[in-house]
Amino acid sequence: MAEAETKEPVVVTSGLTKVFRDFWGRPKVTAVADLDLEIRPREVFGLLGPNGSGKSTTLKMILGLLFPTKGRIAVFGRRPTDVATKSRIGFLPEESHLYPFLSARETLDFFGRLYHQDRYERSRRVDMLLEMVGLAGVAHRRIGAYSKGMQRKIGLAQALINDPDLLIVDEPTSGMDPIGTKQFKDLIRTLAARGKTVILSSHLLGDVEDVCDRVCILYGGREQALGDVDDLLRRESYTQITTDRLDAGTLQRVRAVLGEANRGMLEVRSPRDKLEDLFLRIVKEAQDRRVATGGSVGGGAVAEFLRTPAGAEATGRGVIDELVAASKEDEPAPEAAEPAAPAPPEPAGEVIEDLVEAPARRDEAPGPAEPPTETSPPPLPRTGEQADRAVIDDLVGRPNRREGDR
Amino acid sequence: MGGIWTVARETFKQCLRTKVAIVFAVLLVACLAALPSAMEGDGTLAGRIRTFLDYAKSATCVLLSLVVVLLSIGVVTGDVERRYAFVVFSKPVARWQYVLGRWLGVLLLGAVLLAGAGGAIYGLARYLRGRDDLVLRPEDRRAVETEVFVAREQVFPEPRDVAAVVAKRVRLHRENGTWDTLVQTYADKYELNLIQAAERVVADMRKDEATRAQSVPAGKSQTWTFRNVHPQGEAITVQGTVRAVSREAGAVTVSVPAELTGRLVIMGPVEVAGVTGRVAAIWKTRFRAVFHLEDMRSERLRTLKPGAGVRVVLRPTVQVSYKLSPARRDLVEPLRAAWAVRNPQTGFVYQIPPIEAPQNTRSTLVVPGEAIDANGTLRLRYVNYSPTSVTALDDDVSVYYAVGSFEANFAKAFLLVLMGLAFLAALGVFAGCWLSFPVACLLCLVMLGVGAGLHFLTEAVEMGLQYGSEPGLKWTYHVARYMLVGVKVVLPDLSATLGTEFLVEGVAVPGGYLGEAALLTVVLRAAILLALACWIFTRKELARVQVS
Repeated sequence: MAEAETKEPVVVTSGLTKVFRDFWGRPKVTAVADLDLEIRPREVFGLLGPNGSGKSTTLKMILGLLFPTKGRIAVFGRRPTDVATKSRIGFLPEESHLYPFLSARETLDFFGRLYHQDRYERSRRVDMLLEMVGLAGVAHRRIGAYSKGMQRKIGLAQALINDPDLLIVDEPTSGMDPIGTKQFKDLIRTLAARGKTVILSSHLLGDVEDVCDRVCILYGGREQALGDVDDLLRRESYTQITTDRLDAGTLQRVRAVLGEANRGMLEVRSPRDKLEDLFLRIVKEAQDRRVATGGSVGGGAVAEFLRTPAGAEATGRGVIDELVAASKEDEPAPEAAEPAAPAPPEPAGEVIEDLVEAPARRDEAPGPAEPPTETSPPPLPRTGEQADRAVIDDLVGRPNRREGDR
Repeated sequence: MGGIWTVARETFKQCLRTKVAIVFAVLLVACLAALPSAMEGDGTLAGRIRTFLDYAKSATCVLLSLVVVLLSIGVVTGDVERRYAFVVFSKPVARWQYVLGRWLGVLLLGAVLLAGAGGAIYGLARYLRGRDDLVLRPEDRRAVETEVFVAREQVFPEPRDVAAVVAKRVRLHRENGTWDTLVQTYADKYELNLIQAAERVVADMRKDEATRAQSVPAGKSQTWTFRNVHPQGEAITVQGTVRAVSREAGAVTVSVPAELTGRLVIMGPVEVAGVTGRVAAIWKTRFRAVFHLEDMRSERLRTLKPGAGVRVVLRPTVQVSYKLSPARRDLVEPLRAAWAVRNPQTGFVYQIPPIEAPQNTRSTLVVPGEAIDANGTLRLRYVNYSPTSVTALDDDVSVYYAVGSFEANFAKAFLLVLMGLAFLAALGVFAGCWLSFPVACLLCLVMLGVGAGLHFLTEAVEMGLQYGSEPGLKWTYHVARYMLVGVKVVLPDLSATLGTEFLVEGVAVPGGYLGEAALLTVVLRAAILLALACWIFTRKELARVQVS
């Protein structure tokens, strides 16, 4: 990608407004109002908001499926209806709007043809995508016979058939099982690492938080907040410490130290495993035991053409190894690809030192410990490395530290 | 083109997997399977085949028209209503490519189904043609071979020149001072101005004189002249076997395939071993030819012996179709008519002695092609042997001559249907681009009905304007006429794309007719509808939500 091109915003909206009208043409609902967005290359951008807040309407205007009532949109510097622009876009709609009478293979082949891919390239990509979403075994079954989750997966596969520069996904994990959800989030990270731009609309805040660099929160069709996820989520007035298990005495000393620093302890608890991680581990074990299933299998191998530069040979390494390698080798600006973990604030370091080294000072100011309150400090976001390590552990069945804790 | 073809392929696949197409195929198979045994026609084999062709092709056209209309609407509205379009139009395919692809895909399916139905109809017609057990008389076989399984040109007689007689009548009216009164009477009766009334009087006189000229009194004759009769069929040559030779009677009996006996004409010329004789008798697979005694003594015929192989050549024939109507309504017995043709350039004469002819029913004579002169002119003479005057209208007398094969004509007739389907597919796609499925169906089915009945409606309105006696209704006919003018701009006459009459009558589909249908139905009307559809669809918000 040329340097000049990388600096051009991928999507720009200016005063974007959409008003829906009734049968007589009278304006009835303002779905989007005066929305100004600038989505930059290589970022994962989230559109957040409750139902009816204008997220999908905005995406449809970006795709040229709806025309703005007022304002302007430019996608790659052109009109959204420009056909040439569409060759750089992949779109996963909110529901699976795929032809039910076509099989998964025929569906991908059809869309591949629309991108004018030659037969060899089409066949190669279709095979890899089917493998990736775990539907290779049921590729000849008609989509109408698929479960909702399987339809979502094939919907995702069609959105990636052209290795898009801009991926637009509307409620991407709706209907997906936790395996699919995890794979999807892995995929988004992979694409971002390769310099792709992703626009993601969702009301599943966890998904957005896990993958997005920037978000725009909409309500009533209007922008309510816009900025980096970390900036928006960071709560500067709290500090969270994660350490090895502490006994009651040590905790008492910690309270004392905090009391000396005029700080209260809001909550003390053992960290819990995430249900998602537990689920994934159980499914992985079942797959290792080759338990029969009529549905989709794990799949998960991110298609080669989505991982490597065009023409590069497959390395034969594990999927996530590839992902990790891709993020290391291909990513010149890691901060744009992976949500960076916030650096621990300085005061936290001082508190740790105090906890370990200064038991004598415990008695100096034994202020009463504040009881835990309803308000919990935000958990530390996992760094990209942590995320990848957890996934590797899940896939290879290697016990990790938290497993040992259980 | 890539995008159009991709969408067309997908549309074809979609339509094939749609239940509508399956229902159509089942219905068509049921129809075609039942028709050959259910249809008897006039009892003859030719009549049975004609009726089968008529009903089978009409049923195919009706079913296919409905299928094409419903599918073409459904593939477009379905994409929008079920939101498949969201994904499709996130890909690099232009809206106009999509519209044309949808149209092409439905048309391809229509063409495949039409080809399948055409193949089945042709196969069943061939099967009926081979049913010798249904041939009651030798003429039946001849009718099958020369009037059904053939492509013929139809020529009508030269129009009679009655202008001089009419001019004389007008002059007499003027001289007698009755002209103005006559014109005024017409003006009052038909609500016309004086110029229109005068034109109407002259037209009626012309019709009156033409009718009078076409009435043949008992014992009198009538002659028609046909121009540009050029039979193009190759002479039929078969290898026969001599069954018997009678030198005293100058007759040779030869066994030949039924294909040839079906084309022979009593007293018509036939060439046996290079010598031309006349057909004296015809059986199912043999015929007897009579020769001049001098010819019998020729080297070629003298050596003929029973069991010997012999070459038989039959030159093309022409058919004369006619209908006779007696002046006396109470006459119950059949009419009697004698016919003759003569080629003045060669002196060839072919006569048919007085034969019975049914009243008011179309009948056919077979005349040797030798009767046509080098300029393509055929003069046909009719002698009325009935005890009453007989009317033989010029419009009811025509000559048919072979110009091509049945198979090529069959293909052309189905090509006509395909053009109609191309228009209907365009109509469906156009309606689907801006209407919901039920509304688009309603619009298209109404237009399909009007298009199929356009010829009938036009005639009915013209008749109403010409002969309607209720003054209060005149204005409705005028309104209907103007509405029909508008409808004709949009809709082609779909009955003209049926082409059934060509197959039933064994008449060649004229090249110009095909070209005109292609130009007016596909190039002009279908293309305009598709252009409009593209224009509308490009401006359509595919994800539009209408709130109440």
